[in-house]
Amino acid sequence: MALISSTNWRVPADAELIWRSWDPDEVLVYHAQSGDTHYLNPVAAEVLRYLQAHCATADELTSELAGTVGVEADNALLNQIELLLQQLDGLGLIEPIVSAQNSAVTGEKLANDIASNASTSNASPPSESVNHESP
Amino acid sequence: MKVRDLSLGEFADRLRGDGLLLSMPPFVLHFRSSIETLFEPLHLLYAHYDIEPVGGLIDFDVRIDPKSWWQRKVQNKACFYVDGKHIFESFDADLVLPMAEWLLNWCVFTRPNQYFILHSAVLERHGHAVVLPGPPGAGKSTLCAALSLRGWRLLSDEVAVFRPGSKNVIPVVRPTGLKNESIDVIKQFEPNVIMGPSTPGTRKGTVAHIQPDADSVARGFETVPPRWIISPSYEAGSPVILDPSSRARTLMALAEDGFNFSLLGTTGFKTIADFVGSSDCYRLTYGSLDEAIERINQLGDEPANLNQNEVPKKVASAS
Repeated sequence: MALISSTNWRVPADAELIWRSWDPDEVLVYHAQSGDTHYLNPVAAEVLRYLQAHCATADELTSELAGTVGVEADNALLNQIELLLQQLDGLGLIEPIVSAQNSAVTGEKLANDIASNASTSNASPPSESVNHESP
Repeated sequence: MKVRDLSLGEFADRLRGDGLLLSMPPFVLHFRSSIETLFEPLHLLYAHYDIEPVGGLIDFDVRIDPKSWWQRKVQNKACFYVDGKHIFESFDADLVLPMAEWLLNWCVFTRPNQYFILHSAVLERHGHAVVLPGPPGAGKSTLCAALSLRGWRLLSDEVAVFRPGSKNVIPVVRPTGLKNESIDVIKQFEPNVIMGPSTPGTRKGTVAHIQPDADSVARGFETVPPRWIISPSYEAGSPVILDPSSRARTLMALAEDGFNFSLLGTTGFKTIADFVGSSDCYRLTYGSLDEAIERINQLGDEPANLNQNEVPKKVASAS
């Protein structure tokens, strides 16, 4: 997971996200670019909101989230965050930032690392999605 | 002038000739057909609808006819023509009535993208709308028919229509379609129900339609603010259970039933979110129409949930 831990993530600058929530435990976000509506649990919503305003690595998100909800920033939480980032990336809601510092990292290496770690994680998925394709 | 003001013969002559301009708010339908088995049931089902004068705007131009002598006399088949264009495959002319109703529903579902359209039944009582979404077979149309026969104004048995940016529901009053056992259930529920003929042999089994009442048709231009979204589920023998449902979960389910969500994009999402946010959401399980109606009527007697951030309180089930 070292590669994911050190990768900076963000919501793309041109992403249009529309948020709705009528209950603190249930958050909806509509992603205009894909037309998908996502149902997020509070952790996923917190991470996505943070990445909409900041760039952050999994380590930084773990520290941030631990401080917000008052839990220990341990490896278990880090693993959960890393899985969540993979899933948010798979949904097209966030993207990695390739900086000069990470220029040695190729897309293929990143994909391989994600694939090899995905099967070992037991974290629950962050969201359900509705894809508004035409019937 | 209404359809009922024409004799059956006059009605048939119009359909065979230049066609009939039918006011079906918010739409105007131009309808033509030479298939004689359509005349009497359509004259019944659309009795209370206004006939528009010639020369006005038309939303749907529909003709149902065989495409050749051979198809008419030998094959007993018919075709759909929409805006002059043959669409879909030919079908068995013995099924022409349910096929005609299906085609008109298809026109409403797929064409008017100036509206946001959800697959739901909608009725009104005391100035508030109840929206009944649900998959086929859930008991939505049967419950809709029963409510309309017990004092609820019918807005639609198939679609909840919204103008983008407004959460008021727009009526699209049409004959309520029933299938199989539901036909006899409603006839027993209300022996005086005015229903067209039953047509067996469709893909969904036997189909029949209820004539919408004169008041619902006459008030077809009156939009209604939403108050309740109730997802029904019929279970034989079940007591009535009305459970609160989260608005977020309800929106996700409705989004899957949106006919043109992908076309309207951000506007569609905001429209459905405003509509859901203004409504109390429930799941209804029922085994008796009378009990289900009594429970839904009780909702109308309760004060509105003005705090849109609260999940509505659980309603005690009847015992």
